[in-house]
Amino acid sequence: MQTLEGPEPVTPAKLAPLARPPLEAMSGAIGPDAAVKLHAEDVSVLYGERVAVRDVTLDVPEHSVMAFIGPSGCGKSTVLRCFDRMNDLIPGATVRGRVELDGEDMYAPSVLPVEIRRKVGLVFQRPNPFPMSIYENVAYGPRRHGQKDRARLDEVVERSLRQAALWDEVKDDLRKKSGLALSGGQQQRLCIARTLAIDPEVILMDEPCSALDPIATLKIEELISQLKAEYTILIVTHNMQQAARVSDRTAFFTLGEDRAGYLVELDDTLKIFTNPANQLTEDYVSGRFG
Amino acid sequence: MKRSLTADRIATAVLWAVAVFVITVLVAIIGYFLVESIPTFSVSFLFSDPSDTAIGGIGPVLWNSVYLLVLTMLFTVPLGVLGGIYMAEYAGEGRLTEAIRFSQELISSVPSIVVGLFGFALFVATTGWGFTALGGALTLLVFNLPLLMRLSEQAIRAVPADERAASLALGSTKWQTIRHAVLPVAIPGIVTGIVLTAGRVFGEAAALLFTAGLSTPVHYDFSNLNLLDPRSPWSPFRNATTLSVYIWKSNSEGLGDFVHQVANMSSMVLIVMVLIFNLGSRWLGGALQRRISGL
Ligand SMILES: Nc1ncnc2c1ncn2[C@@H]1O[C@H](COP(=O)(O)OP(=O)(O)OP(=O)(O)O)[C@@H](O)[C@H]1O
Ligand SMILES: [Mg+2]
Repeated sequence: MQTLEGPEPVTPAKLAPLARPPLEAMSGAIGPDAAVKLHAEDVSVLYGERVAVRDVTLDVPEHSVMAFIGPSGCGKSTVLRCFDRMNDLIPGATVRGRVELDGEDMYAPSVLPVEIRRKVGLVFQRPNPFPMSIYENVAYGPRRHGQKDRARLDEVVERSLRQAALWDEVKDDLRKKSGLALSGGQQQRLCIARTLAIDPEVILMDEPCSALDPIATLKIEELISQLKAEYTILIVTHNMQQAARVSDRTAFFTLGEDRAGYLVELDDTLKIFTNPANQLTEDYVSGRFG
Repeated sequence: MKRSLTADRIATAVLWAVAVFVITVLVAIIGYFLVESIPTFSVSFLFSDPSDTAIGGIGPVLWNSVYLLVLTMLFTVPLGVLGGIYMAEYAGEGRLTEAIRFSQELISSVPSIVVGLFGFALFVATTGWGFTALGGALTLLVFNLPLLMRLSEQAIRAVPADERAASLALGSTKWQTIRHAVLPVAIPGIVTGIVLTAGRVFGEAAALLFTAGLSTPVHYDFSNLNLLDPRSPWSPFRNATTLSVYIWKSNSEGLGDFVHQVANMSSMVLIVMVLIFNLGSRWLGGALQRRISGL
């Protein structure tokens, strides 16, 4: 289904100037000296008695983009949620193993989930703006973190909306229009802006473009490439081209015989898409899966 | 296909019939009291004392109804809403939660006259206060608190989980999430619950007979601000016959030549007040939500 060099069906020709450089030009590989931002070791997640994903071990280097790919239900969202302790909210969910942020155990008893979530932002699979004005949606995080200064808030709101490529569309009715009155794609960009506004160190994105049109998708992909300079990004996607375009490294998950998901292969994106080590990966990225 | 169309038509017809029936009954009730009371009604009826004219006024009892309503809601609203928040957000599955739920259901199914007797034993006899507005308000609290807790809890539980998750993912604490993401969405439901409760307070007679008392009040002197003086209309430590109790009393005692006119006019006032409450609540709910969500 996907030949990476071929024309991308999602991209109208007129958008060509915006498109990513060809795969070969991507630097992909990350220097061995890059600091490890996120680290998971033998992480398994159980929902009740059932193991959803097992024995995931991976490193995410600082200032890089990692993509999670794999068939539906293999546990990509589940693993993603481990990195900001959102699995804590699911009754019956258990996280085993060790998860580190900057080398510190995220699940140590002394660590408050709130502290983690201020450093690690999450953009949900479904857009979920608050039923408030656009301004209040973006200002929500900073306000809760104690920012009261109007001028500073205005500044943060504008910067975040600009970064999320939404500013021009909403700047005239920031305070008048509800976040729910936006289109699905605009809502998703609003949710991204809302996450950027808390100035996290890590951004987790769960299929952020699944509700977006090709133009908005490209804007988000551009944004991801820019954000990489300051943030560490993990993105779940079902779109192979997107994984290839935006990520430095790609992790491929699949479902095992025991119906539990596991990490099959993790490597530089270029390698995963051109010369994967595992046959399962090869089959999946070349569309011969299942 | 044809069968489901027929079923659809029948269902529509039945629902229409029920709606028309309900509206007819409502209009009939309001119409009856309007027709019955208009010939004798005058504005002074609302404000004058029972002893002023041959018919008498309902000024003091109307004041007592409003006074008791405010006093009761002063206790009920904060406790009920906080209780609802606790039940929806903090209560686990344990013994305590079960006990609370059990008592909620129990109290809801007890007739209000029984709650009134309980209130009499506790707030009139044991405390030695006698019949007081405060005793009445506390008795009303007993059987309105479970209702408001329940309604608040339901309103809070109806808030989508997405809303909470979004707030928590932005690094908000649990209380911040409740305060800034959950409550704004739940407010209209909570306000509806408050108004329902208020309506019950306004219309309640049985629970107040033995607690707030049923003596026909005399003239009130509103310049008397001494809260401990049982003659002051502002004091919670005084006999406070409400409009509903007054209707019951004037009907059952059957004294005077104008009993029926008084009862009918009072009933109309009661209905109109309840109507105002309900319309007011919708407006208030909407206004609150707009304000809280910053639109
Ligand atoms: N809240 C939950 N409670 C119970 N089981 C869950 C929950 N969330 C996910 N699961 C289960 O865990 C497994 C992995 O789900 P997950 O959502 O992580 O998959 P995914 O890879 O993100 O799939 P998709 O690509 O469809 O989003 C699935 O079998 C799912 O049924
Ligand atoms: Mg998912």
